[in-house]
This record gives sequence, C-alpha cells and structure tokens, in this order.
Amino acid sequence: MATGQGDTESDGESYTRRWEPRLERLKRGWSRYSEHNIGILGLVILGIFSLWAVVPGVFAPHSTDWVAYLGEPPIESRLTAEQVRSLPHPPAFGDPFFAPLGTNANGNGILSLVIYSASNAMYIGLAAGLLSSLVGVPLGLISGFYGDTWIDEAIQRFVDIMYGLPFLPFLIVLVAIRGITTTNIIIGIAVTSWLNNCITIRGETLSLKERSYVESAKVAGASDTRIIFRHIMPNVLPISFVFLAQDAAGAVITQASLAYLGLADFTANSWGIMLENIKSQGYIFDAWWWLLPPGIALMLMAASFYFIGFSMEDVTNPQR
Amino acid sequence: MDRPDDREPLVEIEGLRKLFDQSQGIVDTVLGREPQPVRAVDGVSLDIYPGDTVGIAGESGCGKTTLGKLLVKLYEPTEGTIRFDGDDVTDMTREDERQFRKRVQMIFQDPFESLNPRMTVYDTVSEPLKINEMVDGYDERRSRVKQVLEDVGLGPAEVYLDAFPDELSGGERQRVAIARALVVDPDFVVCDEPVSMLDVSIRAGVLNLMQDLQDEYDLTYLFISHDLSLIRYMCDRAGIMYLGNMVEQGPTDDVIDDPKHPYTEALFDAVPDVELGDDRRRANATGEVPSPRNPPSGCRYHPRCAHIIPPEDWGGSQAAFRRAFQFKLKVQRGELDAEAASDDGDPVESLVEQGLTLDVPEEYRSEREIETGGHRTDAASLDLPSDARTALDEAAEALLDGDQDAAVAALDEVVTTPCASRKPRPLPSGTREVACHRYEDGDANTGAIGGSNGGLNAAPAED
Ligand code: SF4
Repeated sequence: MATGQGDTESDGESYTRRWEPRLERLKRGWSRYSEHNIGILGLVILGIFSLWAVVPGVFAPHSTDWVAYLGEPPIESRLTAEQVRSLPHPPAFGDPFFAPLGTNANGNGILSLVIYSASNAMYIGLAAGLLSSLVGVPLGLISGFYGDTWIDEAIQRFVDIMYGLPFLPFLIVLVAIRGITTTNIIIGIAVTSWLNNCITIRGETLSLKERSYVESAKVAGASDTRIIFRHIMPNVLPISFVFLAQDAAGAVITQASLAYLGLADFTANSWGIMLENIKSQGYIFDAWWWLLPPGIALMLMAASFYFIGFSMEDVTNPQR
Repeated sequence: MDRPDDREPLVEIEGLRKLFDQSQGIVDTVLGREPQPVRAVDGVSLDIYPGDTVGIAGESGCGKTTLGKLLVKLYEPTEGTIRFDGDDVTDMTREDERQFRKRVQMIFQDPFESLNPRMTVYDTVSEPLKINEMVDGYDERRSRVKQVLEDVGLGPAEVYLDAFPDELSGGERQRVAIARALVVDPDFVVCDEPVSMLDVSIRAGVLNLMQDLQDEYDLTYLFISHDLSLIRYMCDRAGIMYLGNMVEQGPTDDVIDDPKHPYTEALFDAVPDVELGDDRRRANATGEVPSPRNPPSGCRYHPRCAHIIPPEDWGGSQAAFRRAFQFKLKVQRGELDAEAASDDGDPVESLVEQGLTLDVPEEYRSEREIETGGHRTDAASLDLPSDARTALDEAAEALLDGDQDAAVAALDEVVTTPCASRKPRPLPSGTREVACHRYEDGDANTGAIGGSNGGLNAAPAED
C-alpha cells in the first residue's frame, strides 16, 4: 500500500476495499444464476418486454392510432365499405398495407398494439408484486419474530379476516367506489396477494428465530430490529423472491381476466383488453392473428417471472 | 485448586429457578387443569471465581443448557438472582446491559447453526464490535478482527475474512464462533458443549486452543457438557446437575475421584474408562430420568438411587430396602402385571418377586434376575425384615384382587424413606457441597449406611 497520501485518498481506498467483497459476491451470484438455462431465458424474455415497455416506438411498425389503408393520423379520409368488410385483415406485408400480424376490426395493427401494451403489463406485474412483498414480508417477519404475543395474534387475525374476503366482489366494490383505473386494480390485486406472503414468511421466521445464530446475536447485544433485518430477513429473501415473481405473474394474469370481464381501464392498452375486444366483437374463431399474439405475450411474461423467481431462489439460498 | 477465599466471586448465582410455561391447550383450560411448567432449573446456587474454569455436567434435560443461557441473559430467571461482578443482572439499566453484553459471551454447541449462513466471517466476527460501538472506523475494526482470527488459529486471516460458513469445516466454524465471542474481550464465557458436534480428531485441538486463550484473554469459563472426560480435562471445578438441581459441586479432581452423591457416582460409572480398556459400563440407577414437568418429591434422585436411605426402624439391609422401595414404586405406577403372575405357581410369591426386581444394567443384577431376563428375583435371599415381607405379601394380595389403593396403603407404613419426604439441601462436605441426606448429619451417618449396604458404597470419609 502506498503511504503518505491524503486522508481523502485513504478513505476512498478503504471504501473500495470494503465494497470489493460485495462485488465479488455479486459476480459469484451471477455465475450461479447463469447455470440455469431457464433463468437466462426468463431474463431474455423480460428484457425484451422491458424494451418494448420503455421504447415501444422503436419496435412497433406503427403507432396505436394507425389505421389500415389510411395510415397514421391525422386521418382525413374514411374507409370505403369494401375496405371495412376486409377488416380484421390477416397479416399483410406491404400490399395493400404493412401489418405483419394483421389488424383488428378497427384497422389497428395487432403487432403495434401488442408492443404498446407491454408497459401496462410490466407496470401491473411489478407494482402488484412489489406491493404485496412490501406489505407481506415485513408483517410476516414481525408476526413471526413476536410469535405467540399479542402482536402476532393481531396480525394473524387480520390476515384471517382478509382471507375471508371474496376477491371478485371486493374488487367490484373497490372500482365502483374509486373508479376503474389501473392503480385501483393493482391495489385490489395486492390486497389479497400479500396474505400468502405474510403467512409463509411468518412460518419461516418462527423456525429461523430458534436458530442459535439468533441467540448468538442476542448475546452480542443486538436489538430486535437488527436481529429481524440483519439475521432473519436475509434468510427469508429467497422465498420472498419466489413470491414476488409469482405475485407479478399472477397479477398480470388477473388483470387480463378482469379486463376480459370488463373490469379494466379501457383507455389503457393491454393484452387483456385486446382479448376482451376480440370476444365482444365476435372474431374468436375467425381472426387467429388477433387472438394468439396477446395470449402468447401474456403467457411469456408470466413464465419469465416464474423462471426468474426460480433461479433467484437458488442464488440466494446458500444451502444447495 | 484451593477454594479462593480472598477473591470476590465474578458470578454469584443464588436460588436460581427457571420454569418454562407451556402454553396451555384449550382442552386443559376447559377441564381446569393446572398448567404444569417444565422445571428446567430449580433452585441452583453457585459461585464462580475469576480465572476459574467451571464445568457443569449432567445428562441431557438436566437443565445445564438453561443454566448457561440464564447466565448470559438469554432467558430471564423465574426466581432467584444472578450477580455479575456484584451487579444483579436481572435488573439492569440499558447502559448496564451494554456493559454486561461486552463482558459476557457464549459459545454455542453447533457451529453449523450458530453462524449466520449469509454472513461472511468478517461480518460475523465484527458484528459484536459494531453493535457495541467498540472500535471506530472500518480499518481498525478489520485489523481487530484479523488479530482475533489469528489468535484462534485461523491464519492468515485474509483467507477467511470473506468466506461464508458453508465454505468452512466444522472446526474452522467453531473457531470463528470462538473469535466472535472473544472479539469484545470478555471476562466470562459460557461454552455450551463446545466440541460435541466436532469430529473427535479435532476436539483436542479446539480445547487446547480454548485453554491457551484463557490465559491470553484472562477469561473465566463455564463449560457445559455431558462429557465427563472433557470436564476432567478442562475444568478446575465441577458441578453435577440432575433434574434442575445441583447435586454436587467442588474441585473437579475430588468430585471425579471420590464422588459423594449417589448420582455422581452412577454418572461416573457410566463413563467408559479408556485407560482400563473397559467396555462401556452403565450406571447403577434404576429406570429412566423422570419428567422435569413433574419431578419426584424430596430428593429428585430417590426413585433411581442405589443408596436410598431406609427408615430408622428398618431391620434389614439397605440393598433389600432398595428393592422393597422399587416394589412400592411399581405398585404406585401400576406397573406390576398381576395377570402374568397368576399363571405360574404361587401368584403372591411370583408378584412379590416380580416387584422386587431392579431395572438396572446387567452387571448390577442378581443371578436370578439374569436367568429370568429381569422378570423375577429371589426374595428369600434378600435380607428383608419380616414386617416388610408381610407388607409386601399383603400388597401383592391386594393387587391380585385388583385393588391398587389398598396395595399402596399396605406399603405406606413400612416402606418409607426420608429421601422421598424431605428435600436435601446442598451442604458443605469437605471440599465440596453435596445435596444428599446421607451427608447431612456428619459422616457418622455415611459410615453406618455404607456398612449396611454390603460394601456397595465404599465412600471413604477422609475429610
Ligand atoms: S438423598 Fe437419598 S435418594 Fe437422594 S441421593 Fe441421597 S441417598 Fe439417594
């Protein structure tokens, strides 16, 4: 080590040395993650969806307002009767227009709609997953750590009550009161999905707090907060990752089902709404190019969350 | 190894009790049953002097681990006091508690459990420093951790700092656990079975290290172990626990070479003597350890004791009384099988002989017991007084009639023992304290009973 340098220098040095092991750990974690092919597959799929969500314009051939035959807005003319009859149009590549996945009954390009809907699905999945983890994990930790006290009792009774809540009627009441917006739907999904989180984490905490390393931390003088967050939480993270991914996948699918039932914000673009439209307009058996893409996109997104959750579990779990 | 009179004790334990309430099931509440707490530690007193190594031995479930955890304040005592360096640890201010946490540490049994699998060696060892804000700055902390790691034989420390527990062997892990305990430079360390989970080949290494560290760090140790050879190897003073009671304590050599309490004697009998190349011998104690939820009255060891004291007016031998007392216990527990007895010969005789058997390892059994696989013994060869014999026959008859209460009543007058009615208090006897009625009225009593039990106990009363 070079000596005789300024204080700031050596501070920086100790800082790098301090972070080095953590970087090293990250690297090790990645090499373990990348052992799983499906983990990589999940990341790739999610990566593509993220790009679609962030810069849809780069990938989509048209905007969502594009209409077959007429082109991008502003649209001055109207479709002829013959053109209307040809909609929904099967995939076309330049003649009479370019729409690789065809169009829907309004003449909008399916591929563009699918790409523009990715952001909505990502948002709902991540927001609902994170929300239910952020509520469920801390409550589960506290409930487990203070197991068999009034704190635990109170949280568990609350969970019981929430379990009794029927999901669909609850959601209908919620949106009736607060309006059909994506945010309300996310809240509706998270309100029920944190319960599983909480119960599993509580069970895990109950067993972890009996470990002697927790006792050893107590002997060293650690506070309850330190024990919960430093000693117990890192050991429940693997399962909470799995739950986060599962909840995200579940939320995307739930939102699509809700959209199919007509409980969705129709000003937003979403795969669920595309499916609802094809049903309500009666083309399920006629326009496969309209039916399949949103369904497949939905399935892939849910799968990628599951795949990532599964591989993360292995990385964060040292006992393999 | 003299009793340190001039020094102040570091730890003073007085009348310590810890009961664990088991949460009551709904059925018990409805039926109005009294909750039966587990009496893990029940009235233990002990002084530990600075620089000593005290060993606590006993079978599993005797409360020794609970005692250790009480000493490091992992549990709050139900009753009694623990004073550390003069201060009551059960009643401390926050600041006092911080000081206490720096001075008292514990090493746990299982190094695979006592290290957080997600923390590196550096994080684990430096944690007590951080919590107690003992060393400022990352660099100083790191060098302190390195120094301790090297002290516990994990050198060069650089190799270990960033390792996770699952990359280390059992011995290395236990050394990390020791380093974690020592990093705050404590005065008193409780070691709960520190090597029992380690490979036999590395135990000695870890124990020697702990001895070296004792000098280097000026430590006082409390060793908790079921392994008597470890206690003999490590400790200057030893305490023997049975069902939450401290039955005997004193300088290790005295306790081991000349055990006074019948339980200690039985415990040491059970240790295979490596030097003599003996096979594993087993204890001369009847039956199993009773539940700490409902311990026996009087002396807790009395249902198993080989030297149980006969009543004043007992005319026969102590050995005969021990058997007669076992008969009574079996009647009380309803263990005698009247039906099997009525099958062969005289049912009363057969039942009495069945009741007089001892549930002990083979080397302590009578010939007839070995022949019959422990089901019968020869009543005639026992030195039973005639009134006792009559009482036994009466009880056996009552049992054959199916009247258990009458059987117990028949025995109640004749087969009694002070051991079951009075609790022996730990009293000084020579260099140590023993909790046994045989040592209460001076050594005269010991001699008398030692003589009448056929030389089974040759406890010399040289003190
Ligand atoms: S008090 Fe009686 S029963 Fe207890 S150990 Fe002494 S002799 Fe045995």
